[in-house]
Amino acid sequence: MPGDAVFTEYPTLFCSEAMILVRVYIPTEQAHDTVVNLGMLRVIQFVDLNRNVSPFQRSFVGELRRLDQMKRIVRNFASQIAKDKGPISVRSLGTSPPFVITGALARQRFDELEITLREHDARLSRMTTNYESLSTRLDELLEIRSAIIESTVLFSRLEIRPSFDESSAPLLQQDDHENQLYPTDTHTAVDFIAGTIDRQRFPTLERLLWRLLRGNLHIAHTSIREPLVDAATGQTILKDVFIVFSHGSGLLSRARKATESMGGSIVPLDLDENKRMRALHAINGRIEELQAVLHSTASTRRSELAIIADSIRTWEDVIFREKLVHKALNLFRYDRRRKTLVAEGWCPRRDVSRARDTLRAVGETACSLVSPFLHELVTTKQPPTFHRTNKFTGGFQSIMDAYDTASYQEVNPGLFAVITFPFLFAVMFGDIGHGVILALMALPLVLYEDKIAELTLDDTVTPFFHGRYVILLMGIFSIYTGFIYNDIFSKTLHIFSSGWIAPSNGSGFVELVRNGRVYPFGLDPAWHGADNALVFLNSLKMKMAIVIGVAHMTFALCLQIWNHLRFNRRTDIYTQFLPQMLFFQSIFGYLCVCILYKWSVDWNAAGRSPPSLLNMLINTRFYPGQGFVQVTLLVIAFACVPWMLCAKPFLIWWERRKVNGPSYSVLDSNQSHVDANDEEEVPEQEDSDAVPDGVGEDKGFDDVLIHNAIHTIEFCLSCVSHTASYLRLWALSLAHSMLSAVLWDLTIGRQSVASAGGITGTIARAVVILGWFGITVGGLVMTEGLSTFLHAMRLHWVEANDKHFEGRGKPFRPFQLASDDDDY
Amino acid sequence: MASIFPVWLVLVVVLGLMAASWILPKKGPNQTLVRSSLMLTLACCYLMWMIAYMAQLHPLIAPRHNLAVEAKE
Repeated sequence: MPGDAVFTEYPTLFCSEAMILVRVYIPTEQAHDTVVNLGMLRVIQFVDLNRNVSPFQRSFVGELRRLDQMKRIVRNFASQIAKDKGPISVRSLGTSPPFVITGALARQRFDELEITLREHDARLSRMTTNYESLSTRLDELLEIRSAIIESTVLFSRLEIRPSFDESSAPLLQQDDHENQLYPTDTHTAVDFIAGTIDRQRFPTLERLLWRLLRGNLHIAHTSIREPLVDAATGQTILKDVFIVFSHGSGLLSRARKATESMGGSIVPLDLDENKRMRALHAINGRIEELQAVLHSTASTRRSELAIIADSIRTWEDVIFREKLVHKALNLFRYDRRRKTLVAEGWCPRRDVSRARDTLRAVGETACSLVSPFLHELVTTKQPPTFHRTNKFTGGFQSIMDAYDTASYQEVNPGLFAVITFPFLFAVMFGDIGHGVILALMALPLVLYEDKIAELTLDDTVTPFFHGRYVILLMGIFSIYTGFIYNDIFSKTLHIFSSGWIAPSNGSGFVELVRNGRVYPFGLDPAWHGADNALVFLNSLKMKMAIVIGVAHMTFALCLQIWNHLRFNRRTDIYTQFLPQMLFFQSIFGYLCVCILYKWSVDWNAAGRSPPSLLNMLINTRFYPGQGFVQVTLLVIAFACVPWMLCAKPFLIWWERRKVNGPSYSVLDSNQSHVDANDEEEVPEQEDSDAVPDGVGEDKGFDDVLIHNAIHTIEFCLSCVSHTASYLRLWALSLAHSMLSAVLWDLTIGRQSVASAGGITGTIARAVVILGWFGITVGGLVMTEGLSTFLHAMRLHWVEANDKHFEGRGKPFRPFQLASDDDDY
Repeated sequence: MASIFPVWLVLVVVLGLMAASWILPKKGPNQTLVRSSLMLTLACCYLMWMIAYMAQLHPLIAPRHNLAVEAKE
């Protein structure tokens, strides 16, 4: 229960902070400013008191709608600024003057902002529509001009052709300047219409006209060189200009309709060349005028956009914050009797006094006699889990939180992950050189973290920045394990004197001889380059993986004890923890003891053959009394299984018999929460967003039995599978060292590279070294590092957390005026 | 001189350091963190060193080298 939470003098990462449910009474006129100030304080997570009310019926819906409209206008501005042809620089939020949303004049300032936005919007849309209509007009004129220019070619071409039909009306050769040949002129010689159409559609149009006019036409066309903007689609396409000659207005009107249906446009052309030239001049003049007007419209529009761009970030920010404030206000309940808004929320007990101070300050700023005040409530509901992290622990905690949030007041595995995670990473990554590279990559991120935090980072880089301390620790531990494995870029260091020397009588393949010393720190360098190095190394690393794994799991198992004590489940220590520990240790703890024992005995000196650990359980004896010990351990292990299976259900059944005996029903654990000082009881909010009580004991007895059986089987099987899973510590370290060795051998270690002489040799060596370094950083450090990171994470999430973690908590998300995600 | 004595000696030293890292950190927001981190670091580093040391106390096989090839390098 939150009431008796562990409240430590200083915040600790060991378990969640103690949280209290608070109620805040706010006078209505101070509500906005209170919420803003609480948002800047970031200590309260508001509970929704209006769960039964639909979003459209809440009190501040009107405000939200208004804000949405303003947001729409501003978004329109942003897209216009982005679409504009030239770059318009937007003033960033950091350099803009602050827009204060609290205080006496805030309301007025906000209303003025709304008016300003609407004015800008109206002006901008007017300019945009003007510009667009002028653009369309310009395109039409350009099309007509191109048609006039190209048609000259057509008309000149036609004049050369001789006439075949003398009885028909005079053809074009008749230089008839006086006759204005318009389509409606029936008494003149040949009528025509002229137009432009999409080049690809022209053949279809031609065929259509032939069919329509039953062959009584002559059509000529030529292509317009420059692409034009089509009025209908708005796209730039290539067009042809064509002229259709025919008789009679009926046919010509049919031709006109056909053209228009095909998407072409009719261009008024004159047969007379001079008149065409005059028309061309006139059009050129109009085009120039129009272009000038367009240019000035565009530049006015641009300057308007520039004015908007100067303040747009401020506006976006203000609207965003106001939206958050009003959404929070919607969660409150309005108390009509006292004309106040009532808010409820979770607050860490440590921060309650800060919240109270803030509320008092709001009241003083408003110069009111009544200021908002805060009231602590007593409740049985489950609070959200809050681990107070700093910039160092934040990375590690988020790694463990990604699996599940710890239950309220449960042991926090994130605290221990600060060291165990980099350590397990390093066991798999062990190489001094790679560790140094990793640490050097993280070091500038740490040293310059203040400057980097101010920049807005790309999404791919942000995780590396947030995890800079994780990476730094990973690198440092990798240097340590690199010394233990004695591996630096696949070479070894000879810091101390080796424990092996070459035999006096050997040449070719020899086995080195002990000289009585043990290499004091790490792996003896004599193993480097040996034929059978892997035989020894695999044995060492496999056993190391098992021992480290058993140690880690034992540690995780012991963390259970705190949870059992904390949640009033003392008996679980005897019914769950003890049999689990005994079962685990009697099999795998014994295995580790045997490993260490076998290492500590000098088999050669004792004259006995070293027993194989694999066969240990079966036949050979390697210490006196082994048979007895092993049988005892097996019996203990077997006995633990029914112990785990039955003890807890039995105890529960026994207790229920005692309670149910006198035919009372078990008390309902979800009580309504009562104000500490207030007499009136607040009606229970059904199913608030707090999590139901931690353990949930009121299930049927069958459920308990089944749950326990599953738990027992799962634990026994997982003992074996998890222990074997720790062998990845061996596997990855082997793979890493092999890759490193292969890389060296294929690049710098090549005979040809190492022994090449002269200037070319030096240059070649430099190039090869660069390539080797590039692959080392990109492949071995980054790629292998990511893979190893994943495996270390898995070991924490599955193998370790399985032994103690409950993870049924909800994270604490205090109300704040910044965004969690990029949803603006 | 391949004795197991260093294992015990270093164990005692590490236990002493762990005791110191429990007693010494001052009360404050980071006391738990410093304590647990130092103790875990000492334990992990000792464990790894001990395993590497003990595995080489009485090795069952010896490194085999090709002296002819290595003399040329």
